[in-house]
Amino acid sequence: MTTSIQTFVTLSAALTGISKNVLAPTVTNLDLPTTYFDAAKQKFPADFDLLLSAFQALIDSGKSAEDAVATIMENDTYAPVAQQINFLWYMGGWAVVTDFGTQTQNLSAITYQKGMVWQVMQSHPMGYSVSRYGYWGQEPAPLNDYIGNGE
Amino acid sequence: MTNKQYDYIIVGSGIAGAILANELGKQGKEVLIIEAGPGISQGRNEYLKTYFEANMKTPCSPYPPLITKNNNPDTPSNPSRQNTPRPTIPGVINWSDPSKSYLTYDTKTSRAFASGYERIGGGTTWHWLGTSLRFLENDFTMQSTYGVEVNWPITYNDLVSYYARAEEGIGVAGNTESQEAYGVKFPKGYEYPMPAVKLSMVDNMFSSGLAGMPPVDKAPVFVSSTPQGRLTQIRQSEKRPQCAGNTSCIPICPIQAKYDATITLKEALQYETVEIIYQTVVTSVEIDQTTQEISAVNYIQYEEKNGPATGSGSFSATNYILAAHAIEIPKILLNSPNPGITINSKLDDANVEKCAANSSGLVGANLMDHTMYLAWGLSDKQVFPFRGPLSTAGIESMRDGEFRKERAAYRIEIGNEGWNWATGDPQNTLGDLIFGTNYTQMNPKKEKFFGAAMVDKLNDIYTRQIRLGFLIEQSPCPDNRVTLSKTETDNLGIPRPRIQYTLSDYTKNGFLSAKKTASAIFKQIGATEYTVAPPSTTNPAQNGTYFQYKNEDFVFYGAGHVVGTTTMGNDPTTSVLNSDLQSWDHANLYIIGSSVFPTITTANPTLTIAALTYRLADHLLKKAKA
Repeated sequence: MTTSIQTFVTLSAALTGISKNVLAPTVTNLDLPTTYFDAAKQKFPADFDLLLSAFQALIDSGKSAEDAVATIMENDTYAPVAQQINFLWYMGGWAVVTDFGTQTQNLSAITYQKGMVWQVMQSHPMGYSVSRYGYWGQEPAPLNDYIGNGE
Repeated sequence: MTNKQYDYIIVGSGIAGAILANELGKQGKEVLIIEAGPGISQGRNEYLKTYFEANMKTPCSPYPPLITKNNNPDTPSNPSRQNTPRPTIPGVINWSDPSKSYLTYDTKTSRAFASGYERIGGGTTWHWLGTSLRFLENDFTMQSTYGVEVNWPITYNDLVSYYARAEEGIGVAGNTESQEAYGVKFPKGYEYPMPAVKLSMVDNMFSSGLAGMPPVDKAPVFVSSTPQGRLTQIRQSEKRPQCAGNTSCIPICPIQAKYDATITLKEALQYETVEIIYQTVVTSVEIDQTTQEISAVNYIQYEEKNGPATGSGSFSATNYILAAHAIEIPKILLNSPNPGITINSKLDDANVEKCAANSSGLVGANLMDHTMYLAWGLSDKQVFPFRGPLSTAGIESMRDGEFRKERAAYRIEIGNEGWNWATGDPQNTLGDLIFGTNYTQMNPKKEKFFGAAMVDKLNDIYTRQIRLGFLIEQSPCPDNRVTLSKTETDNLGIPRPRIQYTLSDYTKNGFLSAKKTASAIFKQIGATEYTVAPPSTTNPAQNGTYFQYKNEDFVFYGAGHVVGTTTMGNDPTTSVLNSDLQSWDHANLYIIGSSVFPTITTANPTLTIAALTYRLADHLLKKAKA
C-alpha cells in the first residue's frame, strides 16, 4: 500500500467509524481502497489531494485521526469532499443530494455489495446474503463483528 | 413452424401460460407459446448484475428493456423506442409525459396507474413477492353478502381443490392453523406442501405487541404467518435451494428459492409437443366473420432488443388462450377489429369499440390494483430489519367483516425491509446524516454526522425501522379502463395503452380506515410513527398518486396486482368471459390471468391465477375429449 493510500484508509476509517481492517482487509482479492482512492481523485482532481495533505499534516502535528477528521469537517473546501468519500464507503457510489432525498450513483455491482451501510445495520446487501435459512428469526452477531473493534 | 396447426396457442409465458402449457403438454396436446420478450436462457446472473448496478432498484430494474437511460433515474427510457415497453416506476413518476411513461393518460381526469409487470419469459413472477394467500369465501360473493361490488360466477368451493393443486405446483410453505384463525376454510386434514417460513424478529415484535389489542374499525387485529412460494425445505422433485433470506425477493431472488414461472415453463418445454417462440409480439387476433371463431393470431418479430421489426405473420390453432396479463390482453383485443359483432352492452356509452370479445363493451374496463397505504415508524426496540424474505407475516384478520358494506377491506403486509420502500432507505437516512438534510425526518436539527457518532445513530435507526403496507381493495368500476392511444405507439408501431383510473369513495374510505388502524397499531406496540403524506405540490414525483379525501392527504402506491379488464361473469352483457373463462363472443377464445377477476378481493392474486389456470386446463381437456 502506498503512503497516500495508507493516509486515505486512515482518513476513511475516522470518517466512516469503521475499522481499517474492515475497510482494507489484508486477505481479499478486491482492493477497494485503491478503487475508491482512484475514483475520488478523478471526481475531485484538485481538492482530493489537498484534503489528503491537510489530513496528513494534522496527523503529523500529533492529532489523532478522529480529531484530524473533526478539523477537516469544519473546513468548507474539504468537508464536501470528505462527505462524499464517507457516502462512497457506505453505499458504494457517489451521492446526488436532491430536494427529495439522496440518489446513489453506483460505481459497480461489486461496490454496491461491499457498502458499509449493510454492516452498520448488522445485515447483508439486499440481494446477497451468506447466511442460512431462518437466520432472520434470531439476533445478528454484535455490531463490532460487522464494523471491527477500532483496529 | 409457420403452417403448423396447433391444438392450442397460448399468448404469454408467465405463471398462467406456463402452467397451462405444462398441463396440456402432459396430455400430448400440440401447444405453441408465444412470448413477446426474451427467453429464459438469458440467465438470472445477468439480471442480478443489472440489479446490483441499478441506481434505482425498483421492481422492473433488473429486466429488459432497461427502465432508464445510462442508469440515470432522471432519464427514463423512451417507450416509443422499445419493442416491449411496460409500466415502470420512472413511468409513474413521469406519468404525464408519453416519452417517459408507457401508459398514457388524460391527466385532467385520471390518476396514475402505479403498478407494472414484465414482458419476458417467465413473466412477472420474476419479480413477485411469493405471497400465496387464498381468497376468502365472501370475496366471491360481495354483492350477495354485502350489497357492494359484484359476485364472481364461481365460489370458493369451486376453487378449493384447485387451490391445493396451485399450492403444490408453486410449492407453498404455510401453516393451515394460522390461516384458519382468520377464516380460511381447508378440507379436513389439509396441510401445505411445506412448513411455514420462519417468522422474522419484526414479525415476532408485532405478534407479541398486538396480543390483546381491541378491534379497530370493527375488525380484530392479530398477526398471521404468510403462506409463501419459497422453499423452507429441499423438495425431492426439485434442485432448488432453501430460502437464504437475501431480502431481494422483489425484484429478484438470486438463488431461485422463490418459485417463478420459469420452473414450470422448463417442465412444459420438456414435452415434445410444447413449443415456444420468443421475441414475438402478438398484435391482434383474426376473426372468421361467418363463424365468429378466432382463425389466427397476428404477430411482429424482432431480433435486437430495441431494433427494427424483422418479420411478421400469423399462427393458427384450434383454441386460443390469451395469458398476457391485464393490460396487454385488452390491448390485443382492442387492436382486433370485428365488424360482425353484435353489441349487447349495458353501458350508456353508445361508442362501444367493434373489436374482438367486446359485445359487452367491457374489454379493458374495470382495471384494478390493490392501492396501497404505507405506514412506517421506529420500534422501541431493535428488531433488525433488512433481513430475511421481504415479508413473512401479515395482519389478515381485517380482510372480511360487516364493515365491507361501507368501506374497502384490506390486508396488512408486515415488511422486513425497514424503510426501503417507505423512504428509499438505506441511502436516504445515510444521506441525511452525512449531508445534514432531513428527508427521512431522522435529522431534524440538520446536523452533519461522521465517525463513531454516525455509526451509533445509523445502527440505532436502521435496526428499529418497521413498515406496514395496507393492500386496499379497489372496487371494480367500468370507467377505470384500458383503451388504445390514438397517438402513441411502441417501436414496432403497436398502439400503446391509454389509461383512465380513479379511486372510488369506497376505496378511499378504506384509506381513512387504514390510516387510523396504522396509528393504533404503532401506539399499541409502543413505536413512534413517521408516516408522511406530503401534499401533491411538495414532491412532484408523487403528483400522479396523490389525493385528498375528507381533508386528509394521501399518496397511494401500486401493489403490482393488475386486475380486471376482461372479467368473467354469468351475464354476457356485463362480463367478457363466462365462468369457463371462454369469450362470450368467440367459442375458441379463452383468457387466463388476473384480468378475469371480477373483483380484486383482499389477497395477492398469483395463487388464485394459478388455481384458475389448473381449472381452465381441466375444462380444455374435458372439452377436447367430448
